[in-house]
Amino acid sequence: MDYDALTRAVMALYDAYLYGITGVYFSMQAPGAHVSPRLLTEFETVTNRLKKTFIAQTRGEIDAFLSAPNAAPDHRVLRDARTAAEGLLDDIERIAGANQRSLVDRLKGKTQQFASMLKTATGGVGLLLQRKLEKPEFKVADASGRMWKAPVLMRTMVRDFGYQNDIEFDLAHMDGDLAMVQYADPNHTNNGLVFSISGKTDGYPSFASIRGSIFHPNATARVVSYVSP
Amino acid sequence: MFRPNSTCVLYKAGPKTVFGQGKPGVGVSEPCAIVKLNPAQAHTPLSTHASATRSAAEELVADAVILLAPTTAAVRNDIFAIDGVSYRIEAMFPQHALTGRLDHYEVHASVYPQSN
Repeated sequence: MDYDALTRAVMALYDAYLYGITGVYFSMQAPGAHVSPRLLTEFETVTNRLKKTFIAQTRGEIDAFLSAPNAAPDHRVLRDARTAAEGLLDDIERIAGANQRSLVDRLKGKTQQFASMLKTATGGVGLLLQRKLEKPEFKVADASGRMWKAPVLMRTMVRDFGYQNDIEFDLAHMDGDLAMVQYADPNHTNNGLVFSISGKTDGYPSFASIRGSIFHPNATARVVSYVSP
Repeated sequence: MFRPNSTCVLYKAGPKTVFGQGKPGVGVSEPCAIVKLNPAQAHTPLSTHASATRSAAEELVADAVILLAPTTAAVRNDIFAIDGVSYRIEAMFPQHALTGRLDHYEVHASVYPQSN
């Protein structure tokens, strides 16, 4: 399983989760429905179940990714990958929880007067009603307070996790300390850049120093073994 | 994303000697990733008053930059050794992941003891 397959699989699960909680939300904010504390509790109970399923299935996908035949031969690399996977799952759960809470807030904020509004829903009021009934767009804030579309942040995080581990696994398979960056496009500026995996070989940049700029979340660079001529 | 692929030996700063010099404590092995290592230390060949532009030469602020795990016991003034060369920690910068989790520490250090 490669990182693209992992991203696709987790994103399919996440879409299903968002679809699920949106469905529950719609069924509860139907015109005329009364938002009571009991309704909110029920909403949380049902969506919690969906969240649990989503997290459990995501864990399964990540486990499958980490136990693929091309995964690390090295115990240490695999252990670090598992630690990172736990961190990723925590973050995924936090985002899923934020999505769930945003719907609870939407439910709370809505005085359910659609029944009376529907009778006179023309012009601006009609637009307002449409806005209230439209499919909610999920947004989450990152640590710096920047707002992301939730699926975009989720995709970025999962792909980065898969990609970084793929690179780590490739490096763990190498015998020497030098490796070369390779792109599908041979004219890429960084194609052929040689680096030192441990950072201890003189004259070459270390892996840790180029990681942020070359192996960024949306990168396509691969690594191959390099032997100094 | 931080992945340690080397180890260094960390010496916590111990009590001071009668001359006020710090004594390194017992060494413990810590996982780390090396960003930059420059074990050599030499004077810059330029001096301000002798250069035509009277500008200072660019100086290397840190001899070594390494990354340490968020659970590290290291603090400023501690000493770590990589391949037998010792460095003293001058600065530590916490680096966070996108969701705010502490990912690693970026540690700037200089060769210890100073050769000049």
